[in-house]
Amino acid sequence: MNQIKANLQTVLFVEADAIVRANISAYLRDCDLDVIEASDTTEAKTVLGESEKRVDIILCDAGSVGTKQGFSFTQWVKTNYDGTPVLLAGNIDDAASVAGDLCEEGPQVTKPYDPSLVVDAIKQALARIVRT
Amino acid sequence: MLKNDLMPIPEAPPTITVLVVEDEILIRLDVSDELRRAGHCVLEASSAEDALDLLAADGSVDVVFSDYQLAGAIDGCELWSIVAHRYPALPFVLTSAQNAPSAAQENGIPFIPKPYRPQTVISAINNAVIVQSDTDEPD
Repeated sequence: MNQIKANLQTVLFVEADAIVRANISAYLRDCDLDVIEASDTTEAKTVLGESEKRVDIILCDAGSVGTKQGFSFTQWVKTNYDGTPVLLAGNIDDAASVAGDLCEEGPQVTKPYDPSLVVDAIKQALARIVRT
Repeated sequence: MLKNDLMPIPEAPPTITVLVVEDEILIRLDVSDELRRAGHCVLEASSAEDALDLLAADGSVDVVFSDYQLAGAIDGCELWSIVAHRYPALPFVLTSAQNAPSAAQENGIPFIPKPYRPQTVISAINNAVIVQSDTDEPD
């Protein structure tokens, strides 16, 4: 059952591929996470700026090679919503040079997504927030 | 008494999967949340193209709830036309901030004007699924 429960931590999941987004979101909901689905960073910025829902963590596709979309979005979140962690997902090799150009960390979640590893990464990042 | 007179407010069928097609993220977020609270599974598409991809990939969709004006090349009525052709037994509910498009009236597509109350959407979706189930049942 896909019902919303109270006091769930909320993941804003930014992923352009609707099928990938639907599958991973369903898995995250089954793992007792509330998921807001955004198809691009413009939608994600709208959710962060205008939705009443609190976002605890963001999972974002790093974007296609060379676009820097995911990385620039991460920098935008740091500037505007400092304290909200962003987990970037992508192919490590492809994204490494872009990350280096921006002096950013590379993707913390590899694509194609392994759902259980995604959940682990989210829970570890949320645990770090609690500790700090 | 007609059968429909016995159940003026459609009861929620067993968990159904709703494909919500809406390019306004805040509206999609709200209606999807309400449908999940009502016990339904929800798939979200931000365009008709995404919706068709999801329909092709996921055979569990029981009903489509779509906005008329969508980002991309295909609007809600065109999406209905494609869905009706490819998945003739799949119920479809249309919404718009404008009047019901003529194609919706001509083809009897259930229509909900915006802004809508969540309960209105839930009832319309449940009703569409029930009507389709009744149609599918052999005499």
